[in-house]
Amino acid sequence: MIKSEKLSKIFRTDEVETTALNEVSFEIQRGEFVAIMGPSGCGKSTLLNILGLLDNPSSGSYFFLGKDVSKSTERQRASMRKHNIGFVFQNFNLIDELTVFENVELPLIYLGMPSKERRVRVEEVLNQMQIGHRAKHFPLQLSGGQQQRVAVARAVIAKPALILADEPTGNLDSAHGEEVMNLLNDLNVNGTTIIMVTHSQRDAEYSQRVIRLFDGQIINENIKKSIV
Amino acid sequence: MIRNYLKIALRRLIRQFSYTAINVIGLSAGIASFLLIMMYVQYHFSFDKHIPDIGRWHRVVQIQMAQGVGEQHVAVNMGPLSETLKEELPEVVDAVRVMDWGARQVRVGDSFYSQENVVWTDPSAFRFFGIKLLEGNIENALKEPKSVVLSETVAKKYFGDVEKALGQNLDFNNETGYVVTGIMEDQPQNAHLLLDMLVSYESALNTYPWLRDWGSNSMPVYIKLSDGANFEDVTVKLNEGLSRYYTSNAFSQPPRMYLQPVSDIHLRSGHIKFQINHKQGDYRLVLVFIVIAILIIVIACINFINLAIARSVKRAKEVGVRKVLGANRVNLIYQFLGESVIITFLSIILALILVEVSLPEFNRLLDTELSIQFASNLLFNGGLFLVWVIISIMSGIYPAFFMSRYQAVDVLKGSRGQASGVGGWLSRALVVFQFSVAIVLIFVVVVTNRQINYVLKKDLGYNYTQVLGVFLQEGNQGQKAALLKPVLQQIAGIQSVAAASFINGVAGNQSTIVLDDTTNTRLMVRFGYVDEDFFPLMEIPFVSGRNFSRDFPNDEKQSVILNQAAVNYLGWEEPIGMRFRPFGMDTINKRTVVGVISDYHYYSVHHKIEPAAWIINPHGYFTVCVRYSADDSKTVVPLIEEEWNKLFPNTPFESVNAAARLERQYKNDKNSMKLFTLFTLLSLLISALGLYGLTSLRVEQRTREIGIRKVLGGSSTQMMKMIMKEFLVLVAISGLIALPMGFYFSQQILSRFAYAINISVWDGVLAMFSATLIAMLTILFHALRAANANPVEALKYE
Repeated sequence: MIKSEKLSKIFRTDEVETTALNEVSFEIQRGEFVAIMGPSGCGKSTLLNILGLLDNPSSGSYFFLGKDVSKSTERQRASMRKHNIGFVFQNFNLIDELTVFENVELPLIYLGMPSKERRVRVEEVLNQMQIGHRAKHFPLQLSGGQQQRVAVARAVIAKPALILADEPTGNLDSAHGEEVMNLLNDLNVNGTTIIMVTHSQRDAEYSQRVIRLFDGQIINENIKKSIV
Repeated sequence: MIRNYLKIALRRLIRQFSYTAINVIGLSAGIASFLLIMMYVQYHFSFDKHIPDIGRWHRVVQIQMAQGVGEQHVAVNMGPLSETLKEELPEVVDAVRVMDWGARQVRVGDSFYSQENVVWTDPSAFRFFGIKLLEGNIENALKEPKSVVLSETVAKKYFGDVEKALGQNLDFNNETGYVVTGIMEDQPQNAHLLLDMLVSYESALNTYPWLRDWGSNSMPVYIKLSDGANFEDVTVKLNEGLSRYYTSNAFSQPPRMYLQPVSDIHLRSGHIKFQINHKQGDYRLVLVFIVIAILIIVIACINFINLAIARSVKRAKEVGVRKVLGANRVNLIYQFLGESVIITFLSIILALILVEVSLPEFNRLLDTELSIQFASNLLFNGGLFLVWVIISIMSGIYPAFFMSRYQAVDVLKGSRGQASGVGGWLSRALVVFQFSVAIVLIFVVVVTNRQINYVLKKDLGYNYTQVLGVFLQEGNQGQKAALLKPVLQQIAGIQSVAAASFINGVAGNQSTIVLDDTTNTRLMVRFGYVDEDFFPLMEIPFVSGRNFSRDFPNDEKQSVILNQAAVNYLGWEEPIGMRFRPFGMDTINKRTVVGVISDYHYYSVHHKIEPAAWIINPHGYFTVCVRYSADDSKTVVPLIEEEWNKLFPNTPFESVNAAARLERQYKNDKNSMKLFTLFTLLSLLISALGLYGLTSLRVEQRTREIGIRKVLGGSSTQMMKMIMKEFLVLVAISGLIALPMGFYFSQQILSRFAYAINISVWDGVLAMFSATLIAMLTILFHALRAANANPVEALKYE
């Protein structure tokens, strides 16, 4: 599903050049649950942004669903993104002005789905995430765990093939964190590919494979479970 | 999707109430000012629009070279001109004379009426003004001498109803036997000529046979050119013809003529001296108001843009999230525009309420009857819609494009969101623009206010307080004056009584005097008819010589008094004893200069004091002037009226207060000034409102910075200074740009006055000071709050 060849990302300011990613190559198969780990500043988030088509690499190639997207325009990336990728962030990134229902509905609006179908789908997913009773609340009225469940609901609403999670439990206590990890695990069991950046060894336990990054390079790939 | 945008926009606006309020209040104040000013502008452009075929009608204007006065444009002409033009120039297809008869005493049976707006005119007036008759026949209503056409209102007032009026008789003072031959619809008030009563021109010819000659200029003449007539050809032929007929030697050169489009009369006649021009406007003033209207709207839009840019920090996250979820730029642009569409709509509603509330006062100030009309006034349907669209786009487009450009990845990484780069630069430039406009306006307002005050307080050269003018009404004025004066003198509280052509001492006309020794030297003067008591009553001092006196019985036939301006022009070292022949009066008798008075402003201070000459001439007295003591100001008028009614029971009593009359002359200036000041204050207020919102957002952005600075030892005072400095620097830059412009515009305005103040450094200082003060007060609140905040709170914020 994903194949990267010698992916590099270099950030330049006026005087300083920082290499965030240095010729990173790896492959991820459909249905995998991969954790990316490493210390702060190792390039995890940069990698995730590139994998999520939010950013282009400086060099190297990136095949997403068999297509080289490393040189795609923003417009092309946006289109692939909304059809294929769901995001879960550490700080949830819900829109405060929208209700739970509307937040979850948003990706479907941008996909141009008719209103009736959206309603059915959103209600279904909210119930699945056990927050259907909170549909009319605003994000700030919810606990952190509930907010992250809304974010997960939003990430899966468009039935993406890939979910990218950036420290999904980083802002949650352990009980709520576990709930979210179970949700992600369920999704993976049902066939969704998941790539997760994390600091937490406990969260990484849920994955089948861990990619360890250090100073922009992969230092270790270990496969914990075999792919079913 | 659009519903979704609107829903979110509305919800956001409600949630961020103070932001919305600042936007809506600023914008609605801007739109309301714009609407009011545009209504006023529209009113000025509406003048004379009822005249059919207005594009082909022109007023004949003369340029005269008058010695002692200089070049002057006058819109009065000779009686035979219109008919001659029609006969001799094929391009002239129609012509009309309209001679003002002023306010008349009308007698209907035993009732007396004081009737304004009475004119003598040709039957062609019906075509010119597009007048429709309710009664009577348009073909012959003004053909015969002593025919009168009344407006519907006047007919009802005199005779009860329109049908009854036709064929009735009425008298003007001592001229009897006029017959009502037609009733016309009431004529519009937004016209340069007001018409309540038309009298056939033939009647004037009977009363004033000299109107048949080419020797005097007494009436406006309007001509209609044939379709496609060459304007310049006609002007050339006009002047050729004039040189054949014109015989007068009143001017050093024969006058020239040109055609002024009738559509220009209301706004572009400032240079014309003798004319009838009701509520005359000035296109420059209208232009200034249009510019102010646009500036105010722009300032209000700038607030909107600036607040949106400043707020973009907060909204960056939303933009990022939306982009991650699949929104493209177009989606986001629609969304931001949606918000500005809603804010603008709300502002327009509020603006309409503001306009409705302020209209009565506005109308009172401008003496207008403006009202909001959605159906019939283009300004309130198409215009408002256009305002809605343009403001929505103007204030929404920048934030929309600016913010939709954010890259999702940047936003989520948190690297975006300082009001730096383009946004920061732009909002600073916009603040500078707003304050530059404000400073220019304040500068101009300060200078013009000083000028108007100077004019109002200027020593006019005579004492016009506690002076009353009693109108003698036409017919035997000299005898009336002789009867009235001794009676009034007996009334307690009346200090002195004098007779004069008018309360200002001059008759309306000009004439040439031909000097005795050098016949080539002529002088165009204003003539005044006064008795021995006028100059002392008005406390006008003599520069040399003496006043008219009863001790010199020959004064009435042989003496003349000049003003200083006339003597200055003539260059006479010793004017007393000089002799000359006043033109057009008693051309046989020479008169001797017996005295020279110091110049006084017989007209308003807008005009230079022209040469003038006074003689005793009881036939020319139309006013008896009365000076009364301050204590008796209330009681004196009824007492005078009582005596008047005893003496002249069949003539209505009418009077004018000299001070009130002068006050009226400056009413236009004062009211324009009030408006100008009001809109300047408004623009300042709107700018301040924007600055208030902007500071609040900037301070919020800098909370973390302030927190860190305080942790590192910065004091609250230092923080205050830092925040204030950011904005005060902008005000200072505005000053650099605005002060020279303010100086330039003020000078332009002052050049319109014959007597003007000098612009002082303090005008600029005052303008800068008030702008800075307003800015400081606006910023202070937020700066104080931020500077005194607990740094721990500030740091936690991020």
